[in-house]
Amino acid sequence: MARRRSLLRLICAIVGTVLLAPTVSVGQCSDGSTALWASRNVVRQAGNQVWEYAQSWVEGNYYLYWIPRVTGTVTLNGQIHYGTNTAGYGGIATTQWYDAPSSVGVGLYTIYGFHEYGSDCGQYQYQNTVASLLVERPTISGPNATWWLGGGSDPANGYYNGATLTADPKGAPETPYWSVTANPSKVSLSCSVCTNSVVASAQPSAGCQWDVAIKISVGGLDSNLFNFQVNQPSYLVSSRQPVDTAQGGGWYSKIYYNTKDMCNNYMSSIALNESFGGWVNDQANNWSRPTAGGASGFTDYEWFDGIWLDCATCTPPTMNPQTPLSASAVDHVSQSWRMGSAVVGSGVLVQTNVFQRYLDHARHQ
Amino acid sequence: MNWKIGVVLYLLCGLAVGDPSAGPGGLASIGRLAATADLIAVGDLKSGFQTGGRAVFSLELDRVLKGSQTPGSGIQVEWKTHGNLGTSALPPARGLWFIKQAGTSWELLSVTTGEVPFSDTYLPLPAGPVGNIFAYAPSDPLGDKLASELANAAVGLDIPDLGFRILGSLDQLTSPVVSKAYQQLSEASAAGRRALGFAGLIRKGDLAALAAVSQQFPEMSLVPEFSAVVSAVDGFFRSTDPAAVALLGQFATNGALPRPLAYAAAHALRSIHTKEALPYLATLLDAPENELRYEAIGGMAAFANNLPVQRPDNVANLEYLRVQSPGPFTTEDTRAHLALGRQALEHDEARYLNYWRAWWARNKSLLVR
Repeated sequence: MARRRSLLRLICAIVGTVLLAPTVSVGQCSDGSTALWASRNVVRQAGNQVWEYAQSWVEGNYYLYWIPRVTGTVTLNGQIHYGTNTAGYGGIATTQWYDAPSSVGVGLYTIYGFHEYGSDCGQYQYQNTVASLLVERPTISGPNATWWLGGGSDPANGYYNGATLTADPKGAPETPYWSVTANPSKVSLSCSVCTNSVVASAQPSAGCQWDVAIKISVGGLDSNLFNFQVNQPSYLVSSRQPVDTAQGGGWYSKIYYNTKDMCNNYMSSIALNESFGGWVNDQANNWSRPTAGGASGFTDYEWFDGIWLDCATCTPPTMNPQTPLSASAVDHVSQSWRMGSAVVGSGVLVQTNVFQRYLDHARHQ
Repeated sequence: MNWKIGVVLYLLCGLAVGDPSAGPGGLASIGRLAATADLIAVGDLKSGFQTGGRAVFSLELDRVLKGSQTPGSGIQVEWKTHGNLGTSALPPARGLWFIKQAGTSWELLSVTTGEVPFSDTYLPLPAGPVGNIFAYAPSDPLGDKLASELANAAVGLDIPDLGFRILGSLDQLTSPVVSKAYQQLSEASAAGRRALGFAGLIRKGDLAALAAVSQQFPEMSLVPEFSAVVSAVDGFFRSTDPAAVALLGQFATNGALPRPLAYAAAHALRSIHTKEALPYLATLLDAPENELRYEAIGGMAAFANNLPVQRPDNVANLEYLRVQSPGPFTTEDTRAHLALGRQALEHDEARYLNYWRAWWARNKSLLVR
């Protein structure tokens, strides 16, 4: 018998119920089988539903001689519920509440149970119980930014147009529901009911700021807003003076740049390309014209536009760079620079300039 | 033997037809080149010819840094490009060459990406042996040997553009020779070389070098290589040492300094945004130049929102914008007032300025002791 009661107490401890032995009775309202039970718990039934309850009851051969009563108090940063329930003979006294954390709040839900038992034989017993459950908002983790590169990524150089965000439902049973609550046109989500969602860029942010907000919801309980932005290559800065060197009987001009993003940071090693408009002659010439190209895979922050021509038989003939450089313009063309792709015409436009060729050098203007 | 026939044709016909090429390029990764190349050698191009998208030349090997070729031997090397090289003989050249074996032939790996002329495919080196200070043994690690050759060239050659290229290449090598090379350059008599040396040291976070730069004005600010110093501060120097922050603060708030350096220092302060940086950033909120005010706003916001220090290695992955656990000053409001750079600020700068000025007034006593 003692072993069976020990086993019972162990089970009670596991399921959150409490067993109390009755005191010695005046009449015959109890025997070795009489057990005074108390149960209480806080249960997350759904993401946005918390059930708090406390119960008292009696079991055993004489349970019909007992009246159980329970008083429950629920706190969440202060008292939010209080109630008492008295059962009839042999009944179960219950106090219970259902709360929506989205309206009541999140935090530590605690129920305090005060359990009383009275018998027809004048016996009176009581016990206190307590149970708690931390209810948190679901959270999102992951990068707070991604790149807009005109629709693609530049994986060879480590620039991606998407970021994987991970949801933590914080104990809620539902699969999180994702939504974009601010500037939804700037990003798209790979899935809306899932744990991991890839946020892909669709447009750049309006500057380096968190102008996109993302949230998840579990059964109606929302996460805090997750700040996000879509960065992009923004502009070119001249990194140093152009260098002009002799190339055979002609010239080789290198015009140096750094690329900066919207946050005013240097971008290293990004794929880029140029494209040309229509050429305009500044003087009669038969100079061949270069075709637009792209580059990728350079290191460091600096890249250059390298332009050379070695043509002594052309009209006008090329010259080695003079001191001072010649001011005799030969032809020019509108030139556009795009970042994020080495494919001509793809990527984000960051600069349009005039590509000007002279007798002994070339410049961007 | 095709290239020899080409040379003969060239000489006979007196051809001098050049074709235009243009396009973007940049420095190739020396680490990747070193790993890919089967032969890395210092050698002399004795003769060669280029036509269309192909150049062929004979190379006499002087010092072999990687590979089983014997110094003093010669090989024929080919280089292919998508660009049009025109038709001409290649001038003699001495340099550091990265070469890959393709069957029984040798192919040149260019040290420059993009469609570039042949002159950009190798790193020019001075004649003769490596100077004593950078001398190395054949058994030394490849990185040390490469760094020694490049350092020797940086000190010994005066070719436009070469210093910048060597600076970029040296920086990719993890060798104790690199710092020695930068130190040597920083003590050179020519201001340009000194600027490159200081730039290299500053890139590595050397506070003494940053301090020394301030003693070099105005001479140093007048050489083209000064831009390397500016970009080293702007893009690389991220020491959170309070002494370094104080020096950056002095640079950023000194109206007499060359403006690019002041802007670079302000950007570094923004990127570092430690508590010690805040008084300088607060001063810059009232700076007359919007470049400085923008950096100040960004730095204050980055501090309040507990963002990581922005470094070269966390720009592409945008980790410097990743929200860590909220800091003691992080609120919904500070997040709403995070703005970095011109595009975010130029249309509504006053709102951000007012917010961060007020924020500083509220929190200054907690942050400055």
